[in-house]
Amino acid sequence: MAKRILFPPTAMMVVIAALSVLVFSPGTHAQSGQQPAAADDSPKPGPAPRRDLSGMWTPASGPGGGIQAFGVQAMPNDGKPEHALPYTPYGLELYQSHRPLEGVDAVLPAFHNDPRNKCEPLGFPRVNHYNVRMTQFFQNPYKLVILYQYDNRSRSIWVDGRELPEMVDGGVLAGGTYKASKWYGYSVGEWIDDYTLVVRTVGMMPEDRVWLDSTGRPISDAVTVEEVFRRVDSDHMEWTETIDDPKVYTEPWMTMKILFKLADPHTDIVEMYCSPVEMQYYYDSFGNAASGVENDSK
Amino acid sequence: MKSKTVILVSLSLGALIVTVPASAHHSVAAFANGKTLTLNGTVTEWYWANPHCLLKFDVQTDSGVVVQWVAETQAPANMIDAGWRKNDLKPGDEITVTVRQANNGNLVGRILRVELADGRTLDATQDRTGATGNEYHLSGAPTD
Repeated sequence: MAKRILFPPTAMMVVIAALSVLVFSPGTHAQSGQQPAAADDSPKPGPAPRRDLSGMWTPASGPGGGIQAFGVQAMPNDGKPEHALPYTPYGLELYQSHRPLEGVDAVLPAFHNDPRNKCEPLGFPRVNHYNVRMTQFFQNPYKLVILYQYDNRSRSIWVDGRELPEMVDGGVLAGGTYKASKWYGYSVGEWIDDYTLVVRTVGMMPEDRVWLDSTGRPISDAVTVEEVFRRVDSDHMEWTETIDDPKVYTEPWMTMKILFKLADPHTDIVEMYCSPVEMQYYYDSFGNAASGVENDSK
Repeated sequence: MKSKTVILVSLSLGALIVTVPASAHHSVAAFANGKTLTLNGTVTEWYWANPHCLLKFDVQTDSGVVVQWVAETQAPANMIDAGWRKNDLKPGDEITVTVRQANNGNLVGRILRVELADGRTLDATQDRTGATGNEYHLSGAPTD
């Protein structure tokens, strides 16, 4: 038999507001644990290996450290003046044409135009700003390959001394040969010391195919991305990214600076694929109803 | 078990923030002004998939009509971090689900927690961020 429990509205609001803070505050468990912090007797990291980035890396702050749901890590799209981006007029127009599912201009689930939801490749550099979790680096004398957890995508970075290709309309000139734009671009790395690899990437897809982040910030095929991978010690690496996109932004700016730690090499990584079938089922079962949209009318 | 509905309506939602790390698929905008409800029901489907796991369950209303609810969690990778598993829920399981309903009042919501018939509670509001080994480990893998 159905049962309905009612409370006086005013009293209920007070109680629930108080409980909400207790139940949903991230620090609740730490405060209520009544346990003194244990002494850290774990082994201290050793010196960084020379010119070696290989391994499986995960954000040092935990799995949430690389998700970047609110936009690129260094400049979240939260409406704060200090996070306003230096858009060109064209860049601002592009941003305003996007209907993202995250950030201050987020729309309801059914009304987005994020290419990610069609299971399009994220492209580069968005792949650095979307669920960056277990990330594997494979290295040999010629190239570094980064294998991302989301969609099991990889990109190659040449470290064999070649020049960065020259951007031309619709692609690049690499060693005098024309090559078409790619989702993950053309990347060349150079060790500037034994522990720091600087990588520059050009030749990505145009702005009608890719976004910079999940909040709808734009990026164009005129962008040059510079990443700095710095080995801090035997267990840690700092990954920094700066973008220079004169079509969209009036000046270069830093998008992320995240500390990663080496993960247990025996870890079996959880799949995070974008399946068109699953995505359609999600919208038919949930996303459209949550947005007030009938399935037939979409 | 009789399928009955127990509804606790929360009108003070400003402080209710789901703290499982977002999967960067969509914001909470569709639920920001929704009610928090506790529902007794029967599982009809537990869809373990991206971009969000979906729990479908039947609930008997006060008038005796059985309605279907659909509630989402985060993606499997996030839910594993929070201690959930694909085989935690099966059709026919009797459960108590606390959800944040969509603003528009449709029978869809975001799961806050699920109480199982065996007494366990699956919490979708906390993760284990910061713990090591948040992903599956190969059983029998050597330690070094």
